[in-house]
Amino acid sequence: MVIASAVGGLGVDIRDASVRLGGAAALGRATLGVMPGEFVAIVGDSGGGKTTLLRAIGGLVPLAGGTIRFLDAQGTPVAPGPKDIGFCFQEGRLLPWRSVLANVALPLELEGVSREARLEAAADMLRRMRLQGVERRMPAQLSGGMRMRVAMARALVTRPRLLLLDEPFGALDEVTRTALDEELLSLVRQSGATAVLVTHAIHEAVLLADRVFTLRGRPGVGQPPIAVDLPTRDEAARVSVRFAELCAQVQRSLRGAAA
Amino acid sequence: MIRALRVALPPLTAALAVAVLWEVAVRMLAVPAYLLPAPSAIVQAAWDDRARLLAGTLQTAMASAGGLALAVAAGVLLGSALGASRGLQRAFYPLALLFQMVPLVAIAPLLVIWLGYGLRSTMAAAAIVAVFPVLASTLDGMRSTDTGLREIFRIHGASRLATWWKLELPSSVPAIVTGARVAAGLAVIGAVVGEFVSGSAGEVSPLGLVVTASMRQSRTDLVFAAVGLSACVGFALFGIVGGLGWLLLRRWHASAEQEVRS
Repeated sequence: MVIASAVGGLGVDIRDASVRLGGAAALGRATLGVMPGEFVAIVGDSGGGKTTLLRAIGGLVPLAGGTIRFLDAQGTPVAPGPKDIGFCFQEGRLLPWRSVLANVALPLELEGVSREARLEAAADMLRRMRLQGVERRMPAQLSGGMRMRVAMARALVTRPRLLLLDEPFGALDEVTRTALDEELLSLVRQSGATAVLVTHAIHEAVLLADRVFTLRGRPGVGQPPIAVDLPTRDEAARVSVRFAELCAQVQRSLRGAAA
Repeated sequence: MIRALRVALPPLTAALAVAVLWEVAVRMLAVPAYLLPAPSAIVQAAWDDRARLLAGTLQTAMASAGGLALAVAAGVLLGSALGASRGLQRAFYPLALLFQMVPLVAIAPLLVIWLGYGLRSTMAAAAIVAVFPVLASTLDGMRSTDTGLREIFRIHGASRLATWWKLELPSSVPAIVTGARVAAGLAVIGAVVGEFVSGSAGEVSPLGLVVTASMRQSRTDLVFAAVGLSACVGFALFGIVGGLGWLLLRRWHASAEQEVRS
């Protein structure tokens, strides 16, 4: 069950990026280099601009200052196409009038992939996520967790090289969330894609990410990233002392040295 | 079946009660038939003239249904065009509104001049009164398309046309159905008023013409019969639109679900 990636993860080079929305600063300043294939989590206060930073990476909001560049494995700057970036939002954002299968096939459809090929690819993606059997269901007939998994399948169906995750499981209960976190991690690792996850849950960030990037204050200012050196990412890791230490370290980074 | 009865029984009972009251009042007060005929007299007159009335009803139904279909097509296209561009909307929405304010009776003679007597004019009259609610509701549906879903389309580089066809139009369907339901009733009004003016090109007298002709002959019973039949046409059209809307929405929209439950 390996989801092969054709070209490998994209690196993201963010330098002094700032964003203004409606005349107000939405993101203070962020500098971060994401390695190809790396999993980075962004945490910060609400209103601190973590979602804004993610949207800036995805090209949905313009930068007021600084640069964001994309690099391939050799470090050569590249311009990603719509296929190369997969987005997953907290609300799922499925089209309510389309079946699960047609929803997952949507990105391919919009990119002009033939009907047969895109439905095949969508069904394949759903199978890999063990979602077979719900292809014909409508989004309203699914549970919240199920809807998010479908949204994830849609984000992955184009075989993106960069996955942007905006609090994908923020609206779910703790048990479902933990299960989906584990599934997400294995999917991302199999795909070889780079992943940037925005979350307000510190423990989720530490559990999933190779490095945690914090934005302190409002508007947020990027702090030095914290490397997560956990040997495993399972139940044992979650109850380990090191896990608690890392969470505390992220907390300190958010609050500043004085706190 | 039982559920259908439960829905149909209260209004039918109420209608029957009103008819009985009416009948009794007319008889007791000895109201002259040219002023207010009794329900029984109306039914009798309608039955005696059934062939002419049936043909007229079909003619009016055709004009209304044809006009409504035109109105939905034009309303959805115009509403989509206005919804797609702020500039177009600023320029043309007030004009559409103004157009809506022009009394149909005043336009109907123009329609006769342009389209001649008969079905074409009455269909156009029906379309003209029915188009605005469809246009306005389409515009509303387009404008309230979920911004999150728009972003999904933007991310995947969807063209303007694809965004309309695959996102804006389907998400506007609930609003369009609501507009079309209002338009169904209006289309019949438009057709009947159009018939007052443009009448008939052939032997068949549509209901609007039955009304004006019977009025001149002081056949108040037939006026009532024609009015009742045109209301039936409106009701049928409303039902058809509702049914089509339900078919379109039943798989995903809450409005269709509620109809199933009630």
